Amino acid sequence: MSGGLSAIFRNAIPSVWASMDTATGGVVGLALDIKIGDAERLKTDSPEQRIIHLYDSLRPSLYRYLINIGVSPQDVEEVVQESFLRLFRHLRSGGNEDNLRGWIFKVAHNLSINVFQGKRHQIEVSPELWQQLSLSVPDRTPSPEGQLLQQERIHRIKNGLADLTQLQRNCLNLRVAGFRYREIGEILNIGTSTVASSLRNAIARIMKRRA
Amino acid sequence: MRKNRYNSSWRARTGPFSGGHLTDEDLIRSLDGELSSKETAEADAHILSCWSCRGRRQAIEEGIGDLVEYQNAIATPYLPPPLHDRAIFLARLDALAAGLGRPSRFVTMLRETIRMLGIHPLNRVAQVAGILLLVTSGLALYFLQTTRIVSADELLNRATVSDMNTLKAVAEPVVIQRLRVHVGRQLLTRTIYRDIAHNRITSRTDVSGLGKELVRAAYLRSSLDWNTPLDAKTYRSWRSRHADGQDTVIQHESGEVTLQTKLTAGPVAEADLTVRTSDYHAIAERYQLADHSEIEIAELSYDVIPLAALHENVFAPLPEPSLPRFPVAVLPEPMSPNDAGLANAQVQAEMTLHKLGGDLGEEIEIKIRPEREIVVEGVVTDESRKQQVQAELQKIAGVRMHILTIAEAAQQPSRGSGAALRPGASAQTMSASLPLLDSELNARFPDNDQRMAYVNQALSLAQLASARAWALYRLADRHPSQDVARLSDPSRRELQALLIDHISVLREDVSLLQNQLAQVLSRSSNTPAANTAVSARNNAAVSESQRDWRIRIHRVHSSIETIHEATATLLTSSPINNTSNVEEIEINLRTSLTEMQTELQDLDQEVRKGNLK
Repeated sequence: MSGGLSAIFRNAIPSVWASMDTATGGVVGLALDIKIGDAERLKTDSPEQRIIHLYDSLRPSLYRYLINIGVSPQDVEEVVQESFLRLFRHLRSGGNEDNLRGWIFKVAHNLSINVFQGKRHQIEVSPELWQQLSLSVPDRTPSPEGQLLQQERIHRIKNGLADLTQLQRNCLNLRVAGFRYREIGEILNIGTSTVASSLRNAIARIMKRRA
Repeated sequence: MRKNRYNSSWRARTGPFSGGHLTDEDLIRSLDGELSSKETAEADAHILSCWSCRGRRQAIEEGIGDLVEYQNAIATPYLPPPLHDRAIFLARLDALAAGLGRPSRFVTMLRETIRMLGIHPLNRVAQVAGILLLVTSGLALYFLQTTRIVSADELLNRATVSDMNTLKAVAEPVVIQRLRVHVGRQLLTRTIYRDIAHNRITSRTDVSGLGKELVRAAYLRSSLDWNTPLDAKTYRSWRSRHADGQDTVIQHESGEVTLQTKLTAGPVAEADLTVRTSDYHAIAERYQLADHSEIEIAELSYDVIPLAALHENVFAPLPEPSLPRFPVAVLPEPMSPNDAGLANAQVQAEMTLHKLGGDLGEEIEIKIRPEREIVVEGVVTDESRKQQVQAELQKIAGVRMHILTIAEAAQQPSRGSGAALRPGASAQTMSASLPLLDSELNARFPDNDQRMAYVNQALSLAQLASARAWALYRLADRHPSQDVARLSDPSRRELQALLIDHISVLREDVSLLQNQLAQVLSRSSNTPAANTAVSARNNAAVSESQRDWRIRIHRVHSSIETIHEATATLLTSSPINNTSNVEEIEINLRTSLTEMQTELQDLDQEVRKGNLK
């Protein structure tokens, strides 16, 4: 019960996981989705106002997370909205307010598995789109050779991800979304040590492909 | 536990990188801040002295960097999330909140207290004792305050006193009241801000101008107060004007009391005001009108905050007592400009009305009289709106105004077709059949409230698109090519901006409506035949004259009206003799919407390029 919304901000840690996004609205993974100054105000808002504020703050990162775990773009907004409506019911019924960010990701994650299981699919990237995506990657190496190498690395990551188990992918995606091991464990209903070993194995596989 | 494990083992652990090196997991934990401070210090110290571990850590960092980069590349095409979905979410949240009702103050207070207890760590015994004390006090308070039977006057007195006490607790109080108003097919949410000390009121609604005006018109026809709905004092004032009223007080098991007033004559046949017995705060109101339609108002929230907490722009500025008020009669006499001057002034007037939102369904027209003057005439809702429109228009030379409020227009017996109130809007025929898509609506939205919210939203979007298409239609009619040729460059650019603004928003509205309707339109209406029809129409050779933006706007207007009509036919109760083929309407609707996307895109490009002709 303690902490309330402040729990959302508790886990800001420096990391390499969220250093890359420059094109679409800043760091998403570990970004503090709600400004710290807003926390106190949120506590005094009505549940509706709080939900709207949380929706505005968390929607971009949740949206990105769902896209990355393979929810089809047509279903993403439905999952997002249903998750926030459930959060509203949760708050109205006096539910626990610890780590609401974790709560909303957990519900969205479960919804994407349960409700949309039939329609869920990995985003298929056509060769043309893939070429476009590769070119859209921020260019930190000006030479053509450098760009080719960079694109090649990204291709290898794609192949490396395909080798991972679902659990490893889930742990990686939640880590990229900025969650601590304990929170990832709570969202996926697994122990912290399992999270750590899954991340270790996932990164090892990706690095093997990358080498 | 973890600390012991790491302290004792990580440095000495052997494995793929034996010889006292950090394992991959240790390195990743270190990067992720998952080691204790002591472990982190030791790991950092080791990395400083060990090139092997430093190199591996850098490789892990680069791998993570590539992974994040890959995820960004995948998600970027879909970000940022579409803005229009937010409006849908707010509507769904609103419907859910309305369905759940407002939690009682006691429960809210209890939860807040529990939350506060959680913030300040008390021991468990103190927490339990505190909660028990609160529950006991709450129950005692509840039973002490509950009044079994009160008279109508007593009930209204208590409600008025209760509201006054709430206001007294705040310096310069501003009441923020959120209401759900239901009139016939129209459902809207109003948020009213009342500055009690300075007697200022402002409000906003969540539906189009037309929907709002229909509801407001129903209010005015029934001689009800639009500015202070759901207010015990207003109800008492209304009741006192009807000496023949018969009151009944009904106590509900849910802890609410309803005062019911029945009248034998007048526009209102029966009225209810429901208050909570816990604090006598009014939470619902209903008016049954003489034409059998109903106005229902339910409170979604009620807050009192100090004026200082609000942004200064929420209310109109307080009047300066020293400044004289200019009567309308002393408005500057318009000049008699030449043709070009008239055309430029007309564009200015159009832009001014556009900025005021007066070109979307409000009954205001701009005309050029033979006496070489521009006249802006029409009917607006109230005096404040009239003042606002006049204040802006009088800045334009050569414009004469004839603006009336609804009340003023009602006193003019032969006003004719320009009247603001559209008769019969709420007097729906009683012999109506179910909507043509009734079964699809029921299947998609089993919950009645959700269904109603969906239909209202779709209709509202169609109405908005229609109002926008009408605005474009009027611009096209008022600006033939010879008129545009006379415009100065700034005026031509202003007209161009006006057109672009309307077209852009209309494109968005059509897209939203298409998405909204896709939820209930049958898949079969998306036939190859329909798509072929669209494709054929789009590929048809378009002559030069057909590319003229005015002709395109006329086509757009005609199609939007068809879409509006088809939407209403499919989603609302239709007259019994409607024998239209549902499938045909659906196919036509889908076709028109798809066609409209292309047509508006072309029109947008046409208007944006080069000089407007």
